[in-house]
Amino acid sequence: MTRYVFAIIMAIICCIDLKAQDSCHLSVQIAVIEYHNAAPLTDMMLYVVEQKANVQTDENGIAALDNLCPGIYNIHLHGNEIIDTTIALRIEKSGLYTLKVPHANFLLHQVIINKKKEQKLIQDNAVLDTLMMQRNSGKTLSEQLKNINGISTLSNGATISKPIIHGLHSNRILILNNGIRQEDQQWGSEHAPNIDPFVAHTLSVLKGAAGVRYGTDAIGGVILVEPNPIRVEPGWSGEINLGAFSNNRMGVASGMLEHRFLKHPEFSFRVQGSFKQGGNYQIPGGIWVANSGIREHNFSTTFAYRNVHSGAEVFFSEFNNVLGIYSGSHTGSQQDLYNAINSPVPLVSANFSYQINRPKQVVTHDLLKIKSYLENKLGVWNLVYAFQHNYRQEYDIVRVDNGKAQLNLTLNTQTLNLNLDHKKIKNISGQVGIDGMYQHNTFKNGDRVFIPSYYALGFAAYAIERYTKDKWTLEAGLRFDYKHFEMYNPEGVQLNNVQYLFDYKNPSATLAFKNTISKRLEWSATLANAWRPPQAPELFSAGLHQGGARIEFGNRNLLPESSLGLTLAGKYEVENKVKIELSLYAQSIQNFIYLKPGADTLTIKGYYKTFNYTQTNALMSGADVAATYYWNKHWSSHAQASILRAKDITQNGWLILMPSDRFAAETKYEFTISEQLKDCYVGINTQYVLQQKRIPGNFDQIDYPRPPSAYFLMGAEAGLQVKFSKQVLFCSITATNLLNQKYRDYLDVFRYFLDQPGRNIALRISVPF
Amino acid sequence: MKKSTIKIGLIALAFSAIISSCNKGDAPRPDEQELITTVKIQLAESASSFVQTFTYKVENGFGGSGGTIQIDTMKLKPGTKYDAVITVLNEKKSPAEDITTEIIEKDIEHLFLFASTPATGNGSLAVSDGNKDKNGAPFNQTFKLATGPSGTGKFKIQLMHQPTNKNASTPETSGGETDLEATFPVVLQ
Repeated sequence: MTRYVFAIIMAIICCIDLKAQDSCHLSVQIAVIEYHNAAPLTDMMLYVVEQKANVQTDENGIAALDNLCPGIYNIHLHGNEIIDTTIALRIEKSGLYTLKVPHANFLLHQVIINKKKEQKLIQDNAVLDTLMMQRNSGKTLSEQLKNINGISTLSNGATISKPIIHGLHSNRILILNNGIRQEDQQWGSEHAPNIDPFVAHTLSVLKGAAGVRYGTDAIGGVILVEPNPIRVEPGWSGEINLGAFSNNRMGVASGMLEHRFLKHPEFSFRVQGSFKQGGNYQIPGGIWVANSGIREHNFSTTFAYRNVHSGAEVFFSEFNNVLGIYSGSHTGSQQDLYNAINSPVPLVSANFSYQINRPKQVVTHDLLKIKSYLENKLGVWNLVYAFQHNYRQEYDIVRVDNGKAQLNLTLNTQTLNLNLDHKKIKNISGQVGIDGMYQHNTFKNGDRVFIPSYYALGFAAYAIERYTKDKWTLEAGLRFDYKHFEMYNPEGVQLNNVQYLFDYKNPSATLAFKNTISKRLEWSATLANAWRPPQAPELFSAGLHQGGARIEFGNRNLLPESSLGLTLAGKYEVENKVKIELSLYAQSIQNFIYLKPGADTLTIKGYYKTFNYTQTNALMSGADVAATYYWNKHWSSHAQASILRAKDITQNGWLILMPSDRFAAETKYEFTISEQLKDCYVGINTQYVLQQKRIPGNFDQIDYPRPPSAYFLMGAEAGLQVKFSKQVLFCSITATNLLNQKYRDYLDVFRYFLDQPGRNIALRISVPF
Repeated sequence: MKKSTIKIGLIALAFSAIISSCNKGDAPRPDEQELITTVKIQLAESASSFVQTFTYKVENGFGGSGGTIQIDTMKLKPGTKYDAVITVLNEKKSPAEDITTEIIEKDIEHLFLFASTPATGNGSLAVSDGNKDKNGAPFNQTFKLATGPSGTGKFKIQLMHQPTNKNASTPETSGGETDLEATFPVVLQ
């Protein structure tokens, strides 16, 4: 093993039709085929070290190299379907050389990032690629995801936001951070996911229930946050990103450095970190939002070992942030809330400041992931262990400030997954696996009453198989979950802990078809289900909801929520001409948990609106449509629409707090000035969000005021790639809410108090090296 | 293969060991922070020094189920002047915690506000001469109360925390967060 250059692979080299040639004029075709089934591997990148040249395999899996001298060439192979490898190839004559490469990974979840051919889960998905992420860097995860059709956000002002997929959010969707189910505290709308988007290289979204592969809670869909694989070639590389935002005078910096050892190319590592600081943000009318600053610093490190048929990776990341919360949003009573709603200007005024006072959140999220894999006769085995530690402190406005937080929540989660991507048996490929999970949620003695402390234990087993024949693919999956909760709820006048035990068992299944009619046209149908057990606040809430000026009562008799969804997706694409994507979905959710208004409760602060957690049957249906048209080499336009109908079937009405229909359009001009200034673009984009008029019949009893009016926003962007000698850098300037439009959004909790942020101009520089 | 199976088994074992070795111990106990359960208004008849105390108590403070509620009716003489003192308590603690001291200490950040329904005439109460905070701005923890002609009405006491306008007389204009709001029924006879 050892001494072989980057010897990661067994390559069998056959030479056919060899003709003698003059030295340094050899023409060589390299065919890359799969080791086991001899299928040609397309879209593989070959980097020839001696030539410093990149070539790609065509649809027949062949790459051509010209003007070679006879000799030994080191070729790095990089592709989506294989483990990155290096092969030493002796080339003496022109002709065809065949490299046999074992199919490294049949990993379904990994493949989701190659949007091109091998989409291994048939399910409707959308990707925010590196380029899009570059254009949005510095924004929060949710704000970046908002660019994907069908995704909206639930927010608390400009700094706290969480993604909504087809109307579902929080614990109805799952976020996979580097393959690990993110377990942070998604209890309320003010609890945003604790993830640094700079870790990711692509963000993708699986829309619709995906319970079979990803487990409980994947009712609305799954968000995958995926880093780039570490560099293939030995040596150093990295990237620096800088961003400046005008609205809240925010600065963002991030850096990444990675290395593969020359002498031990099986070892590599990466370190990455980011820093962000922003002050109070501004809403139209020159009004600063009091105490709305943000401070964040994150880092992550990866150490990887990759061998021919085995490998391991250790990943550690830490996320730290401090978020100020607009002081006017913590209302003491219903009357305070009405006063804030009826005031024409924010009740708490402020100037610009970077200072963050109470109320504020201080959150830390640590993730340790240890992954090992092994390939043998059966296929590729993956064993992944992860430990997550989430620590959330909430500092309230208090009478006597002793410097302490009023809430100190700890959520520790350990997960273990064993997965086998088995080798193809005839036309059937697939994966089977088991999952284990152990979680402990606790707080400090003397904290404000929030949710009970609990222990949770979960086990699951699953299998997903796919059968491919000609242009058809059939995918079917089964899963069985078991979850056990042991909760300690403080009750009575003395708040003594009372133990409650809950056990849930549930099967899930999925069935999907895909038909590739031609290179241009394909369609798929997915029928899938998912479920989730009720979570602690839904079971045990008993009191004031911070900020909402309302009282919520849990219900310990709630049943698990389960959903069954059907998605039809179609895609038509003519490269560089037109691309049309359409998806239609309908999802029925049994035992949908929601808050039902009840009789007002008298407190020491007056009467409060009171809500009880209860269940109904819901039906979510809708469509996402997107089309891009390339007018010519320079001009292109894009338009998209997302439509959702969220019905309460039992009560025959609409569900509350659901995204309204929205439309977006963009036109772009792309050009190249010179070799030094290329990939230039100028674009203008618009967004139109309708007023939500599909509201429950008893809306006025539950909420006030009615959902805000429709709004129209405009944005603009421009960017280019600059090259100085060998150094490349990307610059861009982006403006959001260009017209400084005054508007409110129905899915922003601060709609009661504040307008949405005004114009924001962002300057970004990215320097790879 | 065998080796790896053993490896996997070992890791699984370690994992289950971590789980089973966790000592569950005692679950933490929360505390209802800065809980207010009770507002008392003590009224001394200016002429006779005869003292009456009326209580407004919501045992559970912020709601929650259960707990007793006690709301006294302010039975007062019509056309009479009283010296009033407000005390604020957390009676869930024993002995009861007197929160008034804390409020007086932070009088700059607090403001008591009053509202009588009707504002004038039969059954009304009029507030005057509220005390000031350390900066000389209104605080109103002590004040003078004058009763109107006989009749019935309501008297609301509200405590605002961090008001933005200390000279305000209504919560709509004072800003800040309501710490307590107690509405007493009033009978003047």
